[in-house]
Amino acid sequence: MNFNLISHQQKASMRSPIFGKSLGIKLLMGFIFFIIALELLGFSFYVGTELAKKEGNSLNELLSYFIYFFGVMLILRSLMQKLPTMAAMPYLLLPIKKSRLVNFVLTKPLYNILNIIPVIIIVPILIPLSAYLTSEQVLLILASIVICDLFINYLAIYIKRVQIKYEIVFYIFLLSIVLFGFIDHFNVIDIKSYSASIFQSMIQQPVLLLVPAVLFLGAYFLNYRLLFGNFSLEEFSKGTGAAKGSLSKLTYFERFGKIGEFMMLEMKMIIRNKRSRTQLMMIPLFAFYGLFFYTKPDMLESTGFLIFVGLFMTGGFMITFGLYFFAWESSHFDLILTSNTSYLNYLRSKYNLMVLSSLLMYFLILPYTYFGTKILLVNTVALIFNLGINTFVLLYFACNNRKYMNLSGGSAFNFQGVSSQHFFLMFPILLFPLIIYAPFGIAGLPVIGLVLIGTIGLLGIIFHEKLLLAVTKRFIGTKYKMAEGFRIKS
Amino acid sequence: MIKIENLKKSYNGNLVLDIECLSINQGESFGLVGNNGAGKTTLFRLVLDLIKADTGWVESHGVDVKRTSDWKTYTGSFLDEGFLVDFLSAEEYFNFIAKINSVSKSEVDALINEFSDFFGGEILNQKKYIRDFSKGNQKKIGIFAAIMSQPEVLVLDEPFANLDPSSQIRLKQLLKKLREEKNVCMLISSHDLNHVTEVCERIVVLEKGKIMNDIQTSEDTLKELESYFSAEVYS
Repeated sequence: MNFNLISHQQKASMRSPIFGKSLGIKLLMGFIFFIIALELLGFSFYVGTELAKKEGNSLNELLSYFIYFFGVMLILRSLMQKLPTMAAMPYLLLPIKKSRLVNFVLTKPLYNILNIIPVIIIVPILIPLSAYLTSEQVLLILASIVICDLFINYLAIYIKRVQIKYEIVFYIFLLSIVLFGFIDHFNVIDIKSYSASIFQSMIQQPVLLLVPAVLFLGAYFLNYRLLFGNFSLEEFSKGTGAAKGSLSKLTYFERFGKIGEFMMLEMKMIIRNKRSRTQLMMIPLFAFYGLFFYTKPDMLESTGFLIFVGLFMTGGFMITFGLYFFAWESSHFDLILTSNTSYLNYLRSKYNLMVLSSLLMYFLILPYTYFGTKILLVNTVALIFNLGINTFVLLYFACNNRKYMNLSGGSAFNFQGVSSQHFFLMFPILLFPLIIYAPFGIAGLPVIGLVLIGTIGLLGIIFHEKLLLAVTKRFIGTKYKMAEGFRIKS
Repeated sequence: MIKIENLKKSYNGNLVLDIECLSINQGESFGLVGNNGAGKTTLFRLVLDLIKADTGWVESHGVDVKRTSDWKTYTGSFLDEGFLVDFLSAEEYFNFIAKINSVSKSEVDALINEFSDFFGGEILNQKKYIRDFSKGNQKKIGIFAAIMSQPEVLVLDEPFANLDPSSQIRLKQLLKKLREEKNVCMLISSHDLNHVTEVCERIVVLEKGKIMNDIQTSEDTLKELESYFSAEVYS
């Protein structure tokens, strides 16, 4: 029976329309994974040799980082790992026990490739340390890593599954990460010594390994209960039916006529769909970017870096949403194409939104001027460049979007509807101004570099009608291909 | 009104539509019948400039639909859920369509009033988004939105499918009224020979992308069509 289920799963993935097309991406991802694994091996070995220098204290030192390690694993797993699912409906009618189906789904993550990461990391660390450890200790460390990781794995799955229905869980999770970082940064609690003593005791008293084992079983059981109760629901997320009607009272944009209508539509789309909404919540985080850099005096010296930060902060909305323009509307793209408006105005509504959001972000980060008027200057230049050039770069390349985007999923590390071009596009958007700037920066003429970037941006703003027309032409050229891709909803 | 010439479309080497010449007059109600894969939706998508033809063109009011967007000002359409904005409530969606087509609030209200029987009290004031409506109710929303812009050309793909029997009858009445009072040129496809012969003055049978039959509807049309399709089955 299980064999049948497994073979169906395999067919489902092999025969999905995405599989054939994205083989290149899969190879690329595989290659990247391989490189990362190699680097991890090397890095871990280095960490091991460094730890070995501490001689008697090395084990304690190693164990003091375990909590951080599992914290990072929890974040990584809950963000990157796909939720184990299967199209359950057809099976529910067959004479298969429901518990069997649930267990099948829940044991799938055990075969995830991510599971070997902890081993890849810990083994090379232990090799240089082996002189100071008994073989029994090595085995116990490995055992504690594997068992704790199992717990982390199922905890991550549980968090991920619960947040589908209760979005607040996602924000609580985010908040607790920030809180943890805060506690650690300001040494409110000595996490390291806690970590060391917890894992020391496990190694001294192997019976205590039962604690994480029980935690793992508990997490498995929680998952089991959640899945068992919601298995027959077609979509777990469709629990709450009532619409809140967010933004329905906002009538300000009506004065802009049809363009305003399309702007309103886009904003409602962002607020009312889960994927875009969680993405929107991340944008204010872009504003905190400055805090990391502006507080360090040597960073303030590097104008090139400040430009990068400025582009990133004023363009937060643009970069996160602009790359996927049109794809956001893939579920009603046929309506857009037949609705009674010119494509120019349709694109103008998107341009206006980008301008609006950038101005908003610009004013939000004005207080950073406190760290120096140079920051104000650089951010203004970055804003002008974003408004004049990057808006059109994004619109232009958004015309390449061909994949239907499912908006009901969460946003973090959700790669549905994402293709490799979206990653590569980040480079020209953020790097092009730096390339312009670089020769002047090196020659010690930063002001001229800034003026040049600003002038290019200004030209883009002055000629924005012409640029919009050019982008519209491209949109008309690619709209059939976009519409065709968006109609394939799997 | 609508003129099609030498229109061909193929997917992966399969010719799915091949129409040499077809013209539909102003105020004419044009029914399209044919089995699955006959090319009905493909034809409608070409009329609405949603896909690119391999050869040939579609003219609306004498202008190629590819060239300008003028036809959008007088064309209402509903083919499938791709025409619905699923995160809006029904009212918001209607208002959006009305604004885009410059239909005034009072006109919208009058139309909603006219359609209140068709809606059956299940569309308006529902406090839910279109994505949470049933398939049948989604269809009603889409059809109404297409008619609401008071078009000269109305394109509906399978409007009767998924509707309950009473709504099918009401829809037939509404479409007939549109034809008689507003002189709307209607393009309607359907699998239901009964409905389509009742509403349309002219029926075209498509098979594998080709026009097999072009009939002015009379009392015998239904029988003629039934015998056409049963001949295929029994031969």
